[in-house]
Amino acid sequence: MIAEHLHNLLLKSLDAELSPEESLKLESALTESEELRTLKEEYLQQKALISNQEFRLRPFLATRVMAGLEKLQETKEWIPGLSFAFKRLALPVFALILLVLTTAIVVEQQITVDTFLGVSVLSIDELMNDFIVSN
Amino acid sequence: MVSDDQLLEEARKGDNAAFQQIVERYESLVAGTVVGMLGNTQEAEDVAQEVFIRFYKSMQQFRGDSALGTYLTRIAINLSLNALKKQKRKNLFSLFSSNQKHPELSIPDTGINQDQKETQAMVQRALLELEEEFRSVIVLRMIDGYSTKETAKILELPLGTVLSRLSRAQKKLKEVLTQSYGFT
Repeated sequence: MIAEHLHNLLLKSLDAELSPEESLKLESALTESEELRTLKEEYLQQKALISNQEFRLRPFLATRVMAGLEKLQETKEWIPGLSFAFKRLALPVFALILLVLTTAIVVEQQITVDTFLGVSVLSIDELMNDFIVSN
Repeated sequence: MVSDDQLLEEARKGDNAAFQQIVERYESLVAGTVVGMLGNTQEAEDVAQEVFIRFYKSMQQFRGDSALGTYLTRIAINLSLNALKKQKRKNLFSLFSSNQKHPELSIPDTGINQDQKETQAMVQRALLELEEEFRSVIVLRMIDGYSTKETAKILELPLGTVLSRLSRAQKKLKEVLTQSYGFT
């Protein structure tokens, strides 16, 4: 069983992060323990195996990134225009809706969907009569 | 060679060519992180692209407290961890999810022979077998080449935690490589 502090020293040694004192301590432990030597060998093999691989992406990443940024910039240009139009339109449209609603309530003295849409005065019979007269 | 600071200054002024140079300079570092974390998958490609787009958006706020490479690696590792979380959620809620444990890897042709391609696929699959917390430590230490201290800083973890995760990750990796792939 390898003591935790020796194990940590071994791990740190793989990237040459040991102080001279720690190096001496590890060296002496390595001389004494075959288990620690085997572990070191295994770690070095593993490190070599992994760090020797080339982890690559498909070619032209930079081109794809720049294309992505261009799209982003286009969207950025488009959104302020939309928000400007919204700011300009929102208030007048809201005022118009309020006006129509108030007029409908004043005229009809009640609030219903029909009142709001202005169709409460219409009935099927009246519509049919209008249709017959017009023809 | 133009320094990172100079390129950054130009990019901040709106020079896209300078930003493209930054991408080209750090492409392989970011690739190491995202491919190590996610394997050679479409998701890794998307995350790598997103890393630079995120950096572009936050470029004005980057004060240079850490090296540019370290900053990009931090974004890459965080986005990879987010992607893995999303994958987990997707697998959890997908009624029709396949039984495939890991996504299909597609190692790009970069002039390596078939044997090297197979070894690379084996290493990537073995890394994907590790829990994310162990994988991230291995990726930063062994692929990106950061020291234990730098790894701790990037992952915002105490040094002792990094060392203990590294130790457990290496044991697990040894098991996976030996048992699943017959690596000795």
